[in-house]
Amino acid sequence: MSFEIYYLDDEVDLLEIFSDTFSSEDVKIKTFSDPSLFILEVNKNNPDLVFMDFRLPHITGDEIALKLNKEIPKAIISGDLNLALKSDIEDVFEKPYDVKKICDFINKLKKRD
Amino acid sequence: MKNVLLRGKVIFWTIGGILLGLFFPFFSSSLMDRPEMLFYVICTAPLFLGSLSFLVGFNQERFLVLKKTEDEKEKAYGWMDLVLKSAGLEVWEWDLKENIVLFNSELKHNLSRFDQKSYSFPLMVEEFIHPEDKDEMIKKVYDYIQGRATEYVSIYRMKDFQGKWRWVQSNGKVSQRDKQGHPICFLGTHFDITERKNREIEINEKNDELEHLIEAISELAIVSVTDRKGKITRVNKMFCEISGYSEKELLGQDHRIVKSGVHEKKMFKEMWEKILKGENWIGDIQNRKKNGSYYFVRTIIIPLLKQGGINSFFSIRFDMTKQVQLAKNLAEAQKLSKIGSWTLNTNTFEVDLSDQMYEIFPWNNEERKISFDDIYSMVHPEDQEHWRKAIDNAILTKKSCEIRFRSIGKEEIIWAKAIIKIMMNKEGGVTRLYGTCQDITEQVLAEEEIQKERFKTIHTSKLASLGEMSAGIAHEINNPLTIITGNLPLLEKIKKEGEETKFKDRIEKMIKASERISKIVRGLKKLVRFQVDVEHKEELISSLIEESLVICDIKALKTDVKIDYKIQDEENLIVKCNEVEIEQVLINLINNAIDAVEDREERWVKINAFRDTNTEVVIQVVNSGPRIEEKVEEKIFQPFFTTKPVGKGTGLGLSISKGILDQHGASLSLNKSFENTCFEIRFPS
Repeated sequence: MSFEIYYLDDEVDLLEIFSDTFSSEDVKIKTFSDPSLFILEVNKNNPDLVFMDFRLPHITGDEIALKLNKEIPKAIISGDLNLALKSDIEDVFEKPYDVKKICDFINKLKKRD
Repeated sequence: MKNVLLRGKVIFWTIGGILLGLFFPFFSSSLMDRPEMLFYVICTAPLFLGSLSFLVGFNQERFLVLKKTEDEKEKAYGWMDLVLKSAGLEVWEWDLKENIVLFNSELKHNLSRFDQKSYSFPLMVEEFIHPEDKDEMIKKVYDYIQGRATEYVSIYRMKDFQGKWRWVQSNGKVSQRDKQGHPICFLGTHFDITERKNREIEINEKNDELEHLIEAISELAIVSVTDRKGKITRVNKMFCEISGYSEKELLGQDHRIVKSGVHEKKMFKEMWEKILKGENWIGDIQNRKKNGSYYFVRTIIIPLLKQGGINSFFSIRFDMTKQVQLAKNLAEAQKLSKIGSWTLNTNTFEVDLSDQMYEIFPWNNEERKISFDDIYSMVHPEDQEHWRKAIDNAILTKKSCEIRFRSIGKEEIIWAKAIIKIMMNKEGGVTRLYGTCQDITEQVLAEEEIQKERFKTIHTSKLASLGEMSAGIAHEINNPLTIITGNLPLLEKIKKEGEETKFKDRIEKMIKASERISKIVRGLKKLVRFQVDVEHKEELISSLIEESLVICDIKALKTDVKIDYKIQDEENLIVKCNEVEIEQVLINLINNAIDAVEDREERWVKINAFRDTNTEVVIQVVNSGPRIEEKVEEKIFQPFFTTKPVGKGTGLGLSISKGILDQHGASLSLNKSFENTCFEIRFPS
């Protein structure tokens, strides 16, 4: 069983970079640029981890988090400063992100499973 | 004359003798009847003839004596006549018994060139005495002759040989009286006083003229007459009314009775010096009424001359109390408002300044006589050209105008605002400039302070909106940054794998991302620029809108609001403005528009720019939201009014925008002809 990560960002270029950077033999990455499709897919497939941008058209990452299954660990990757989060978020990463930090975080969660 | 008398008497006696002789034949015939009578006749005849001869002889002797005295008299008369003539003295003799008036040759000569020896008194009066003087002269004569007057002196006009009237003074005395003491001869002289009399008349006429003049002036002005020493000899009703003193109280006093004590002694000293020289004196005097209050008079003192010397002083005064009060009020008002007034004669460049002008500009001129050049030299060097130009232009264009300039005071700089107005003659030529001048130093300093504050506020609001947008902006910078940093480690891998196309594609994406960042930073730099520089430059509307959109697009993208803009005649749509400030306004309006529609289903913002029919440049920012409610509309431009949730808006955007546009002479309003919300900026043409 590979580790499944879903990633949501409206900046399409970032999606490609993200999957290129973090996908490996045991880590599968699926990316989305449309929040509603993302919510639908996450709740349907229950991935092991979700990463979301914060500032999205008409909605923020933590608002989306409320609409997702509670068990799924959620993280935010955002270029915004000083985010005030309303929902339960595992971790927050600032753009431009440190690849190593995100890798460590993924490994930590992998072990938890 | 006496010879004639003598001759008459001889003839008389001769004729008498002949007639007597003629009696004899008559006698002889009658005596023929009575011869005894003849004896008596013959006997008495020698006696008779003898006595007749005696009588003739005696009278002859008397005649001879008479003739002798007559001759002597004639001679004496001749001498006297000569004396009188050379003295120019006219002598008359009135024989009261005969009622004949005789003249000496001088008088005769002056009266008539015809050789008439004498006149009857009535004829003389009729012929020579002036009709107006006749009655008085006759009365005086009879008063004297009949003993009612002790002497006779009369002045009347007599006609001379040319028909001209001359004034004579007649003195007379009874020279001979009869036994009863009745006057029989009245002797007198004429003295020609025409010259003196004419002068007297002239003076009288002049005095009459003066009297009329005084009467006339008395109706209009306060009049007084004083003697040479200044004692009041005459005052009119107005003098009494204004001073509160009665005529009785004033007469005999000098003018110190109304002295107020406010004038320097020097002034009165100079006044006396002048009027004693015979010159008129004019001056404004403050006097005191009987009740202690004051009144102001413009006084003219005219010395009146009589017989070469100053006889009296005639003063005319005009009540100036109201005018002085008005002038005082005006001066007070000028003082309070710090507004002075001035006039400039455009021909002579003479200036006339109100007292307040010297208060505004401490020109250190105690005499308060300042010339145009003096004023010019005290205008701040940087303002001199513009100051002089304003005056020349006003004269040239005949148009009123207003200027601000600095003037150099003792140490400080004074800001002044002058209003220049034109006075023209009938032909339309400029004769005078006049107007006001106001000290606006405080105002200018306050304005400068306000201007500084305004920039501070604008800056603060910029920072506030920057803060508002910072999260979004950071996001917007960090996203492309992530594209770059994220791609960097991948590039090596891609290159190793030999994926040339992918490699190129990534590089391109990284370049684009860095361009995005630099564009945003450029926009931010403009937004936070703190600029006190008010210089306005010509800016293309299109560039203003595009630059504003750099910032606003970020928000629009995030909120999925579609922004469109349409600019007519793009290359020529230009306004003179402060670029940063107008961009600030546009960003404000566009941001507001995005905020207004972000939660709506239909989300768009449209910007229109065009030149309307009256050449004003119009920028409209329209959003898909509905028209703004009327009760909101009233408050919309007030500071700190916002419909946005807490933390989202400062409530300063629109009020600052309006302030900025006011400074540009432009307007900001809601255009209600749109179905949607439309803010409209109008720049004057």
